[in-house]
Amino acid sequence: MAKIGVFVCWCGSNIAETVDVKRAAETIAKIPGVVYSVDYKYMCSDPGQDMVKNAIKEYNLTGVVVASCSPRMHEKTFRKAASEAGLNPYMLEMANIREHCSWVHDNKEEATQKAIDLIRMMVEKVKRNKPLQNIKIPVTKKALVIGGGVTGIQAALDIAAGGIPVILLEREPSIGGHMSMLDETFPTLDCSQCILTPKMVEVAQNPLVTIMTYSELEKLEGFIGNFKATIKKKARHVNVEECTGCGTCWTKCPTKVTSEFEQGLGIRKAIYIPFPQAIPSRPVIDEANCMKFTQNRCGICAKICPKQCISYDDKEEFIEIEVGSIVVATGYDLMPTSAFGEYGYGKYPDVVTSLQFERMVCASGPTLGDLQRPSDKKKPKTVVFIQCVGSRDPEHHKAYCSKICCMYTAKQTMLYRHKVHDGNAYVFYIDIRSNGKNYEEFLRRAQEENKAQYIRGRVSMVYQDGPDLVVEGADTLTNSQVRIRADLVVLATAMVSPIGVKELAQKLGIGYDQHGFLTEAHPKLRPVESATAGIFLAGCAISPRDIPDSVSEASGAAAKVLGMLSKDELEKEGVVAIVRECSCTGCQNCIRVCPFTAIALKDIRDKAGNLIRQVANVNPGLCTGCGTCTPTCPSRSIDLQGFTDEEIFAEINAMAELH
Amino acid sequence: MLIEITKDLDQLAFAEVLEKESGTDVKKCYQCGKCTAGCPANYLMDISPSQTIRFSQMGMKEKILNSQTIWNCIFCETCSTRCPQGVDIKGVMDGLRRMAIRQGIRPKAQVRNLEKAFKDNIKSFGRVYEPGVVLDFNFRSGNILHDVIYFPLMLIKRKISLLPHFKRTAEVKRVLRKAFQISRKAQEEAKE
Repeated sequence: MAKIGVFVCWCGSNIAETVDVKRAAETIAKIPGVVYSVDYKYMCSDPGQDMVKNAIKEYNLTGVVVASCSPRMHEKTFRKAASEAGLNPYMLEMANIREHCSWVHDNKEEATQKAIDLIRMMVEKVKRNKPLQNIKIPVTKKALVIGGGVTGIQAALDIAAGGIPVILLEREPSIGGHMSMLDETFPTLDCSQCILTPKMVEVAQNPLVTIMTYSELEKLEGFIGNFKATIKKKARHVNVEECTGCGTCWTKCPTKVTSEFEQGLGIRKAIYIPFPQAIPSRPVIDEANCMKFTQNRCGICAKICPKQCISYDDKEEFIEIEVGSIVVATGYDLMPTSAFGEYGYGKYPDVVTSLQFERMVCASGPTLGDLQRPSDKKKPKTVVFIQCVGSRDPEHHKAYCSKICCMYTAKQTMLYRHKVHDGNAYVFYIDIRSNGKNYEEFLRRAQEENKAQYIRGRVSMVYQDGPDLVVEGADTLTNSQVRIRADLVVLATAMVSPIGVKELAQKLGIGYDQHGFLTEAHPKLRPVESATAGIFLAGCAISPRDIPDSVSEASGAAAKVLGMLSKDELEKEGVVAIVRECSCTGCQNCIRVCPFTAIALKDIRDKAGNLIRQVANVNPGLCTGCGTCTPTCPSRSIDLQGFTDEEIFAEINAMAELH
Repeated sequence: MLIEITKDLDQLAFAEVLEKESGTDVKKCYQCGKCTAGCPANYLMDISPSQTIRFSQMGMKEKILNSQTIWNCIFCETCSTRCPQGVDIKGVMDGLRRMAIRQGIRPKAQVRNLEKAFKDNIKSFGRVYEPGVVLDFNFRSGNILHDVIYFPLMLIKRKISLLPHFKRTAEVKRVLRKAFQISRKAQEEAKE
């Protein structure tokens, strides 16, 4: 005989104002099987929890219903209390009479009736609940970091600092990401490479970190603590172990290609390292441009390599690795500028993107820091910076604010004025967002000391007039149209999610939004976790952010990884699907619908080892208890523990008062 | 209105001139509007105080020098006191007036009349005797009964007194005399 205890919470006035909690408790007390029913002001408080514990002991309760807020809030609290009192935690259920009742109704009489119904449903369910055990999963103590920018590097370093081996995966030939392309960084104006390269070297030297460049994730199987990743190592055509990075090959290579690293402003060879401080400093052959691959001639690099480490027959390799946890730090790209016809990008050589401008002023850039405009190599005397190019334009481009453009534009005006003291730097802006430590002060410095001239308004068009570019826009502060004759126009284009991230997210089984940015498990309280257990997020993969934010998120994600991998076993809720093998026909309906690939076929064999039949089998480590499989089973052979058909029907019957 | 920024204006040069003239850097202004919000004379102005600073930033010299704002500012300094960026708006107004006068721009007769009445009043009393200023101003502008209707009420409320009763006016007058001398000298030097 079931002995159920019911605890009705007031939640201060949150529930008690709309629901007659006393009457609810009294009405519920009359239900057969309910031996104890009481109301209390705050059930989640310590005395409230003690009431539950004491009642369990005193009345030998077999089940408990707490009628209060959503189980998302306090289910853990009360289940822990129940287990402390010796009751299986899964024998405690919560009836949500706050979010589902008092907060959404105002008629007290009806709300009270609804609350009683909700509690009664849970009482009937809990009568049929079965004790469940949490599931323990073994853990592979190794982590994978996807993306070798500053975020990925920091995450790898922090995980390795905790003694966990890490694999740092990067699809480009070198780690370093976008930060390696920048000249100086706001708000301190320290040289980007000078602060990044020590980190790159540190991560390369760390014995716990394995760097895999020019490689991509091909496939991911498994579940939290036990992922199996297949990595595609693209054909590098250079033996990385033998190569010394002497540079003979790329000096002699006759094929010149526009450099991606220099944002199209410089050239590289077909066999190349992207930049001098690249890690690893081993070249790759770009198959799309190398004459050996396009026309089957040349082959100079193989001939002159002193260590004979060039092989044109290299094929891509697939490597399987086992990891316990994954950090996704895939970073960002700039929005393709072809979308902005009115600004003339692509049409006029002197309209450049902000990243191109970084390369133009960077001491390691194609002009070694001598600022020249692309068309005639002239030093630009007037530069117009246009902010919000593609950002904050939900009608045409991206609705979001790219967050960092205000600051880097201010920085670029400074860099420009440092190079051209008598130059004019004009900035078209809509609003200025300088919310960070020392950011506003930095911005004031750009305007006051470095004399950047800010004009509040968007630009309507940019056109060429002789050697000059004419920028037409508005200044809403003087309520006038303005026209500026400029030598150079710099577009602060929106940050977007890089190509291939959606496909990667699908392989990983994590969510992304309409812009292709990865979705956090909770935007405020779980900002570095994905909805899939064991996979963490950091940096611009989530949304546009600056270096300090990305780096702190990397450390946050690393802490999460270390916390998870510090245990030998992981524990997860016992709410998983279970198959009744005697009636399962092996139709595979459940296998097809399972979003987590948690169900597979299992062979049933006789004593002699002959295959008799196949049935579905749930991997409890992978199963999240979503319940998608249960309604698809034609023979009702798969059931979700904790939400069995019997329990759900009991609830429905209670609601319909058919019991 | 279309402004040819690079052709017609030299923003930075104008900001520099204005800084010399007024001792304040208009580039500091970020257009929050605190000055305009608290300006008691805004209703007399064709360009609000914050906009005056914006036009100064943009180097739109002709527009501000020909505005009524610079003459109608009452120099109460509410704006300068409240400015979060430390821009001395009143100082800018003062500087702009001087620049306008040097360019031969004169305020309207009314403004000149009031200034004259004020100066004379201070010369003879050492302090401002308000009924005297008003009377003088009314005589000069030819509208003798202007605002006289307010006089009894202000008298009852003791906002003004019927007769001047200042103490130690002789000493104050001496200070003022000296100040006028210095000012004249400076003006002559500026002319040379």
